[in-house]
Formats: sequence, C-alpha cells, structure tokens
Amino acid sequence: MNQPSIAQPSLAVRIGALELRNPLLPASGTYGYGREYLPFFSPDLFGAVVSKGVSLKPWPGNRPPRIYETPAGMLNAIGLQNPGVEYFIKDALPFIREYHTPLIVNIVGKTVAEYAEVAAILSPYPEVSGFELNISCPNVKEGGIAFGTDPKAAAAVTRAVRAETAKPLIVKLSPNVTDITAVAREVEAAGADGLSLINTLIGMAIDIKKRRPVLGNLVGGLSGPAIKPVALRMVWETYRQVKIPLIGIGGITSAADALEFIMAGATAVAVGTGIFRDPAIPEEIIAGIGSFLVEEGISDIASIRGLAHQGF
Amino acid sequence: MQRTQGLIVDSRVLAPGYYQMTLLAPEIAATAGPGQFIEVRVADGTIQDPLLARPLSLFRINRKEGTISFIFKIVGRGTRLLATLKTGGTVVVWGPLGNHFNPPGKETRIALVAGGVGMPPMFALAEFLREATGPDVPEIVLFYGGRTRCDLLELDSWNKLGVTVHTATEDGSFGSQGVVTVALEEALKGHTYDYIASCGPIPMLRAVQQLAMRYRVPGQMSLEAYMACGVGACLGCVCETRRGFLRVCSDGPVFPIEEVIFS
Repeated sequence: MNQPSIAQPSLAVRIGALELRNPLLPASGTYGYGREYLPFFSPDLFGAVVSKGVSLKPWPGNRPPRIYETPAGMLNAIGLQNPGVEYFIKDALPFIREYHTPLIVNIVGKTVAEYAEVAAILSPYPEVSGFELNISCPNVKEGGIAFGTDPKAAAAVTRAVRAETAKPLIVKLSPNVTDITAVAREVEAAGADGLSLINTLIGMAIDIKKRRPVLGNLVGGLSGPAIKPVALRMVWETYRQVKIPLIGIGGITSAADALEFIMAGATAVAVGTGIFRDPAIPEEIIAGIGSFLVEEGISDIASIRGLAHQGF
Repeated sequence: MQRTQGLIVDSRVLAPGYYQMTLLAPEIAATAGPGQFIEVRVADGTIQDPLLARPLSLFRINRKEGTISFIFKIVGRGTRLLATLKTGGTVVVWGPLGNHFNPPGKETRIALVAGGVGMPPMFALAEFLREATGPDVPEIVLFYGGRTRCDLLELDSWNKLGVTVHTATEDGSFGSQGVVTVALEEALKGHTYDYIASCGPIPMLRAVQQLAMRYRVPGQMSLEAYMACGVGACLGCVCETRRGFLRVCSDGPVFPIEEVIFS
C-alpha cells in the first residue's frame, strides 16, 4: 500500500478492530444492503455497509403513509419492516460476499434476548464484520427506542450482545433524550466498541384538509439537513465524554457536512436521506473529503478528527 | 436504470397549473416502458429544500429522438420550482424506475381509465400499443375524468392516436357530469373488454377495481405514493395488497387490478 502523502491523503479509519478504507457508511435503513443501488454504485464505495435492521422474526412494518417530506427534511415511520434473520442469511450474505467492503449488521429487537439471539446467530458468519444495535428507532412500540432512552436498559442490551460476539459492536443512540452523553457513557462501560449518533428525531405532520396526522403511525422520525445542527451538537458533546470512536449521522449531504462531523469528533460518518436526494451524493462526499485534505495540505484524515475542540 | 443530466428541450403550460416538460435523456428513453417513472431532482446542490427528487410518470417515450416527456401539476414546493425551469437548462434525472404495463396481444379491446394527473401513463401505454401493432388494433377506449374541463389535457393527441375518448367532469363543464366510472360501467354492460388499465385518484381506482372484478375483466392499475428513494431501498412507499405490503416504486407502480387493498 502506498504511504499516505499530501497529494494522496489517507482516508482510512478504524472502529475497534474494524478497518475502513474510507470514513463513509450508509445509514442503516436507507440502503437496504446495497442491491437496489447497484445501478448507481457498488457497496465497495463505502468504508463499510450498514444493513437495514434485522430482527429475529419477520416484521411487517407500519401502515402507510410511511414517509412525508418536510422543510429540508423528511419524516419516516417505516416500522423496521424486514424479513427476519433467517431470510437475511439466505439472501443478503451471499449477495454481500461478492464485495470487499465489510458488512455491519444492524440488529433490532423487542427484548434483550432477541437482540442477543440475532447476534449469536450471525456472529459465526465470516461475511459479518460487526454489529450495530438499533436501540433508538422511534417507530416501533416495543423495543427500539425504549432501550435507547434509558441508560441502564441501553447498557443491558449492549452487555447481552457483547456476551454473544467478539466482533466489533456499535450502538446507535437516540437523540430523543435529555442527555445523550449519559447513554453514551453507560454503553461504553458495557463494552461497546463505537457509537452511531444520531438516529431520527421524533416529529409529526398534520394534513389540514383531512384533519388528521399524515403518517399512518401518527408520528415518525425526522431526518435530513433540518436535523444536522442537532446531530453535530450531540457528536460534539459525546466526543468529550467517551473514548470509543463515533460515527456521525444526521443530515449529511456534502463533504463539508461530513468534515464538520469529523472536526466535531466523529471517526466516521453516515449518509442516509442524502442518498435518497441523489444517488450521486455518496461518491461526491468521498471525493470532496479527499479534495479538502489535499487543498489543506493534510495527509491523514485522522489528524482533523476533533479539531474543532482545540482551545475549548 | 441510469442517472444522468437531462437537457430540457421543451417546457410548456398545458392548462392552468399543468405543465409538460421534455428531456433529452437517450439512456432512459432507450429502455423505458409505459407505466414506468423517473425521479427528477429539482433543486441544485446548494439548495436543501425541497430536499427529495420528484417521482414523475412518463407521458411520452421517444426512442428515436432520445427524449422523455412528463406532465405535472403544481401541488407543492417541488413542482412549483420545476415549473420555473426553462428550455436549455438541465435537471438531474434517474430512471426508468418501477415496472410497466403488460397489455395482451393485438386482437383485443382495451379500456383505459384515467383521472386527473393519472392520464400520462395511460397515454404512454396507448402510444406504445399503437407503435407496436398499428393504427386500428387493438381497439382502445379512454375514460377520462377531471374536476373541471381544465383538468382534461391533450385531447387532440388522444384523437390523433385513434382512441375513442369518453370524458366526464365533476362540475359538468366538459363531457358528462359526474365521475368517469359511471361511463365505464355503462360501457362494460354493453361491450366485452379484454383488458382495463387505470391510473388516477384512489376513489376512482377503487371503483375501477370493483367494476373490473364485477364484470370479470383482467387488467392493471398504476399507483401513486409519496416516495423517498424511488428504487426499492427505503420501504417508504408501500401499499397494502393481497400479498402484504408491497413497494409502489419497485414492486409497482403497476399492479394487477385486483391486488391492491384500498382501506
């Protein structure tokens, strides 16, 4: 491998034992596991692929309408529709095997035991490079956010999954809390190798002609550029409180957005709603980060991580 | 399926609030079929609102000239911005997306049922059939409904295709007064149709489904939904069907006429 230089800066980062060629991931649930976007780009574009949430049994998801566009953002209430871990093994693993990029499986569950069981089932598969626990989905009644808003419950899920796998374990945090750093500290102490933040903010919209909420689930998760300042603030605060790597998520649609998160302390970043806006955006982000480093004379992305904290 | 910069070669007002835009996009025109749609990103990179691309059904597909046309009505921020774009400009566009209509062979009688902005995919289908089989076969009849006469577009183009058009408006300003499915039922009583295709608002589709089942006519309908990705990844646009929740963008937008469950 070439030594990183100012002309060819290194974009490689590490999340625990996970080595990523570049710091960009797809946010879970926005990319399936890559098949739908093959006409536009390969999964190998990303530093790692983060799968859509996988549960022990199939989940049907919420009644439509499930999405609604809001100013500079969108609401979704998909409800973690997925065909379950057995189907995932049959369908997703053979697909992703053809690519080089690591696969991080996002796990969802209704109970601590369900999260642990999915991890136990998938951990032996060589195609699975790590896990991300979704304890922050606002759109399901049981599980999800119930674990993410209580630091003790978040730690309990993390410990239970930690006991089932030695692979890198990332926990995805909810912004719908008073102090995200309290959850972050507990999850770190429970054995997480990294944190993803943030999941969506709970919101809603009302159809004034029909005089009722737009979404079938009544409320949903807000994503997109509208939430970026909130996400950035939470990454900033969490970086000062934990030692494990952070994956910054929330309204990233450009390299400049991604660089803000990295300077706030994120090791990697994820793009979600931005992929919907234009499937060319992931490539533009990676290329733009590289050009920024070249322009600034920086040879390694690691040297700008957390830079905005200097002097504060 | 391809993402490209589409050159706007024509943009025109069809009626108050209705626009037709034609893009030079040979990669998309080459493979598009009737019923398929495109995603058009209306705002450039520096503008974050409207955020998402707009799914738009194809009205005409001209493979020879490499162009695709769509019709839209101004309903919100995205379509309002789209209406300001002028000939000579470009938009980011990707497609063709979704599945397409699969009508039966040429010795058939076909009924098309369109409501409001559901008309464009019906036209794409009629034009496709005419190009595939000639000017007279199959026999095509269009039932076309709108709120007022301003909602009924491109009637000359329909006539040029050799399609018999029955129109209905809710206010009675053009054609028969009322909903278009009344005329459809009258026709179904007197004639045998081999296939019905439909696109339009939910109440109309529900009525078309009931009539198709009552008179035992097979067919397909195209659905509309709020979409985020448009390619099948986000599961945001699902509709309820006899096979469970299916994605309008990639399992559809065209479904067997009896399959969708209207709640």
